[in-house]
Amino acid sequence: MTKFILRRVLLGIIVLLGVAFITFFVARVVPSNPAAKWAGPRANPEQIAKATIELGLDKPLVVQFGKYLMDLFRGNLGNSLRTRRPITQELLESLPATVELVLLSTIAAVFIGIPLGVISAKRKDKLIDHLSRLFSIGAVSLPTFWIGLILQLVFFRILDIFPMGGQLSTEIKILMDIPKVTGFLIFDCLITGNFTILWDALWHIVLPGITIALYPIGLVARMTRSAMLEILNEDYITAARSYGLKERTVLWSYALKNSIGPTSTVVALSIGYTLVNTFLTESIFTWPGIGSYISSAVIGNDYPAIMGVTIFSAFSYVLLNLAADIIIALDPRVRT
Amino acid sequence: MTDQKKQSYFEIKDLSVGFRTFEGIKPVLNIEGLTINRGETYGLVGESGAGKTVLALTILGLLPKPAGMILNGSILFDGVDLLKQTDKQMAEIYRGKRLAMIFQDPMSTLNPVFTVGQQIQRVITRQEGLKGKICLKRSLELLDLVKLPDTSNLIDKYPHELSGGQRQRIIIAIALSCGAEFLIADEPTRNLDVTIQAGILKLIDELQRDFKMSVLFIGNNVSLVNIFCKNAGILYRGKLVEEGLSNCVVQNPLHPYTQTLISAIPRSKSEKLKFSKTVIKPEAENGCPYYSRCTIGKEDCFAHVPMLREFPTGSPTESLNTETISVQKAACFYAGETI
Repeated sequence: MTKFILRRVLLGIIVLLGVAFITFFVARVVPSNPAAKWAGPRANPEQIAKATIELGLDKPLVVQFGKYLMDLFRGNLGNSLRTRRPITQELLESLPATVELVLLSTIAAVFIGIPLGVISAKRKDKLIDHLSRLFSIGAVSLPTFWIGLILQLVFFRILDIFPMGGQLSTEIKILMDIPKVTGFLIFDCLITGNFTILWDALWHIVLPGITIALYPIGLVARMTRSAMLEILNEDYITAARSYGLKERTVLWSYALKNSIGPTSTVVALSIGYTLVNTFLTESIFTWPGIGSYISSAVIGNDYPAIMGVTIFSAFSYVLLNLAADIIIALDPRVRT
Repeated sequence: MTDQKKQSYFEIKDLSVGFRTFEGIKPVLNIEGLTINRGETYGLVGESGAGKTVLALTILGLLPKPAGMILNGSILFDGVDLLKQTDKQMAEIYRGKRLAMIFQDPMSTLNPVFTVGQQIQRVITRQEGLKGKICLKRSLELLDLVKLPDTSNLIDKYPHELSGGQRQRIIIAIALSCGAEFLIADEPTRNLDVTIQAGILKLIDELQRDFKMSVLFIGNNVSLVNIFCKNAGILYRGKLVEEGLSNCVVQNPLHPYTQTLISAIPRSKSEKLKFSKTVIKPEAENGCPYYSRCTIGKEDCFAHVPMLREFPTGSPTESLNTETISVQKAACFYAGETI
């Protein structure tokens, strides 16, 4: 098992190196002068030349890349060209809001998607199966930004039940002390017992939450359904029934544990997808997360920030894949 | 065993099972009658696709749904029609408790992601309500019963770490964990080496005697059934074509299909196998199901379906117990003619 994990970790590191390599050189190829950006809009040539040396842009590319890797290794993603603050710090500040959304959608994927898939497989070709398939196909194929806009239109504009965007109402932001312990707003409200803000925060997370959760729920439901259909035809399921085991045990334990491999891979990969999806949704719902951060970075040609977010996304993907591999290794046949 | 009552212990009457396909319902099984007495073994032989496994699954109420359909008939078990039981009743009262089944492929019958112990114990907990240490002890006893060595080590193993023979013994242990009285053994030695086959068969034979079980033994080897079972039935395309005491059936086969089956068993190395000439004849849609492959078949076989007819004890051996009324049945107009 240790050997298995070690091998996967090593593979992940190689992938990350590849991503670092590509982002680094793409950023160098793009026609824009980071030094000019760094020195400011009214800088004279001497100041730009000075900034070039300051940023190390005068050194050979290989040296620059080496320094970049060393910095990465220390968790230093460089400074933002706009704010001049360390990108790592800025990312960490906007991360909790994004993680909150991603976590919510993953929980929904596991606790709604998997049961939906299991029930769908059990009642194949019945009404509930048709409905669940229709839902999954819709959830997977409708573009996220469209869902977000429609939800805003229906629930804010027409019905006026949920707020249009933001993480909290403006009044609360101005009038109340926002608890800040871990940075995760909902969690902080819970542990400090601040239920007024908690309620408001929950009210705000509903629409972006649904927008982001739909895709993983649909995907997981479909994957679970097809995996379960295959497994329910296996001999050992008929055998389990012949021992007089309850249908509930057969379905939710005997069959489901066998489908954990494909399902968990999909869950893990959909988290990665969700993370990227969040970037779009956040700008629709003005959610103060990494998505908002990267959209302003792109608009402002802030290459170090863009590279930082790219590396961060890649890192999350690798980590999630590793997690999926380890979950799959729970299946005793995979372990070597 | 007990007094011979009018009512048989296990009796299939006019059973007809079909599968729903795109072209409508296709009948796969059509059994007019099949009786097994308490404590007896009945061997059902037929080629693959004859409907043997379908019969086994029908008895347990485990036909694949919604494709499999019971069209007609009844399966009486100890006076109760199993086909009229709800799925819940079957799971609560019959399956695992009174009826047990050993499946044909030991490689795919155990759940790959649970240890042997977990699989046995779950059944024991469900059927007998035992938990914890008592449950563990009981499962070790069961593994002992099926003559597996080193049981305390074995119990934490996953199926893929075990050999085919070991797995089949474990499957037998699970099937019998709750003292079933009626066992369906569906080709229990398929996919196993010949030597291991012998061991498994011996084990089932011993358990049958120890627990006084009734066994429906399904196989495709007639001579095996002869060693192992009192009665034998030959199934062809979902129909019983011959039935009787197994040694009568083997030594004096009446139906041309049975004769072909028996002549297909290699007897010695020196003897060359005689393959019957393949006759290509059209299917007799309203006639005998064996017509297209039969070497005897005449016009009336093409036009009419032969029913099971009783024949006077055509037993060639004198050693038969005269008290048992031996009746051999065959579904052929020309039964007894040699091919």
